[in-house]
Amino acid sequence: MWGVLNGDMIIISPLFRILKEKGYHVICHTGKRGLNVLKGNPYIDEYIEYLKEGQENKDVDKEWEELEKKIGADYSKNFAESIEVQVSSHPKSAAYNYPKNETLPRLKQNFYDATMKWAGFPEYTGLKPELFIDKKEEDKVKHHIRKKQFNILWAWSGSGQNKAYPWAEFVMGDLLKRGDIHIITVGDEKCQILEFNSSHKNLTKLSGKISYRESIVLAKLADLVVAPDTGLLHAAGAFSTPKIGILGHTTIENITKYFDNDYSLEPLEGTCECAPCHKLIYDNKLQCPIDNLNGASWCMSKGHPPERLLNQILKVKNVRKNHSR
Amino acid sequence: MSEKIIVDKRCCPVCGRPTVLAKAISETGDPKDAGLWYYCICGIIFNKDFPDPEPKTEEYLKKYRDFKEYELIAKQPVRIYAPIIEELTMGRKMLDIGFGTGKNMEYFKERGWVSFGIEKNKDTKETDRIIKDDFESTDKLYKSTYDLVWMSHVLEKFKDPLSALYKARELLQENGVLYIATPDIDFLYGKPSGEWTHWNKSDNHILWNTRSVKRELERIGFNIVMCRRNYYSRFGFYHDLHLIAQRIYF
Repeated sequence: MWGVLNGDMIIISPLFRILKEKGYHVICHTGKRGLNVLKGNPYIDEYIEYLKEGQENKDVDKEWEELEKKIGADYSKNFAESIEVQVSSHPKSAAYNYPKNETLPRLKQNFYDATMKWAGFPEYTGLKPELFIDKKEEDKVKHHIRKKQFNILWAWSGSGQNKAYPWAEFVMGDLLKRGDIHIITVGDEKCQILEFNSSHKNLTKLSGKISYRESIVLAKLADLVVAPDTGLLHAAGAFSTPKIGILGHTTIENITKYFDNDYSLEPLEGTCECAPCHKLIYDNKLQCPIDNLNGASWCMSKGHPPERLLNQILKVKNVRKNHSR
Repeated sequence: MSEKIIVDKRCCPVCGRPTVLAKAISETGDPKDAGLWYYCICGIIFNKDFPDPEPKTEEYLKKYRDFKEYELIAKQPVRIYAPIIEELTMGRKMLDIGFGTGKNMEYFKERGWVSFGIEKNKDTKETDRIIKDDFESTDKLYKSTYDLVWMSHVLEKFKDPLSALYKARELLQENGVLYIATPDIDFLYGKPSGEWTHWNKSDNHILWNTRSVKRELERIGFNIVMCRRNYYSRFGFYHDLHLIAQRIYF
């Protein structure tokens, strides 16, 4: 099996268990990101690493063909194309410009169900991500979690520019005033530019400072994960940690439908007619209606007013508090 | 309907040339109601004076709403041209200038567009998406904001249509699209003036043909993607032209 982006690797993660249960010897051919996400998965017997240190880009499809011949597998599946591409509209796709009334019924499907169908197991539905974290990994990052406070793990952005939430600082600012909330922000190195310019003692800024794997471990340990439609939201789906997905171009049906303790939000009704567009956004300035006020995509800016997200976070906090009593 | 040829001197508001040929055309047949329309060789016909009409009211719009098959007719331009426009531009933010009953905005919303409108109708209720103002004079619109500017039967009503087109260009994103529907005076070559239904002296200021509107748009910096003449009442208006232009056309 082969996979690409972090989120995609998480989406295909339940498939390994199914293959193993069916008696297969499971070999996973993936790159560094995939290895990082799937680390510790007991259902994978062997890994073949694509693009080892120092190697140049190779034609993955060609390499895949050669591997298939060499191994002579009973079952093989190439997930080199992003799962999102399969169930969303790519600008190259003829369906990209379909009007909303034609797009919605076509793309009203859960990514996990769609993946299983793509993999040839349509009878398996309702699956969640499966990630495996060991005690050692937890020990390594647990110092970031404060026992007496409500820990929120906040992912700044995702693979597309349309996923950035423009009111994050407003919501965080209000939460930090409350004193009993600790916010940990994560993201890649590029996300450092989005970091909240505050030195508040209850704000821990970790963008670009910890690995993606460590972010996943924190998603397990935190009290709440707040993220746009990105790999970390999928990762949080593997755990019972409450999660709020700030969704714009996708829906709860697509992403978080089967997740435990899901409090995800879709754009407020009547604020954003283009959402959910189910489009792959590479340049939001070109592809999205933009809010002139902050330069963010309309679904994120107008669809998710800051007070709405704030209330949802406080709601989760209360539920969590009552539950722990 | 009555018409009378008159020789009178006036400067063309589009090209500035002096023109001497005018026609006094009366929709009612009574010469007292006649409007004086000047013909210019640049391809326009203009009203003697800018009519500067009073902003319309809800009652005025009601006559459109009560029209037989109104829903179907109102939907037709969006149903036909939106797929072409959606192929030309990726963004989905539109501005309907002089939206009238607002049906076009509604249909664009249904297709997944974030729709805005500007209308000077007296009974227009302002919202965060609706501006109650005159497009030509307003300063409430942001530059480089929209992916589509929709001008359905408003170009002929502008006091200074060239400035309005410049303004539309400024409001559009780089690959933004302009849609224009306006009466086409070339139909007058094949029909008696009385069969052409756009002699509305109290509303219309400058009437165009395909060549004049295309020429001015190209001068302003638009690329003409499509321009067709419409003979049929399926679009509500007929004997008009439909034009799609884009700032950057690949």
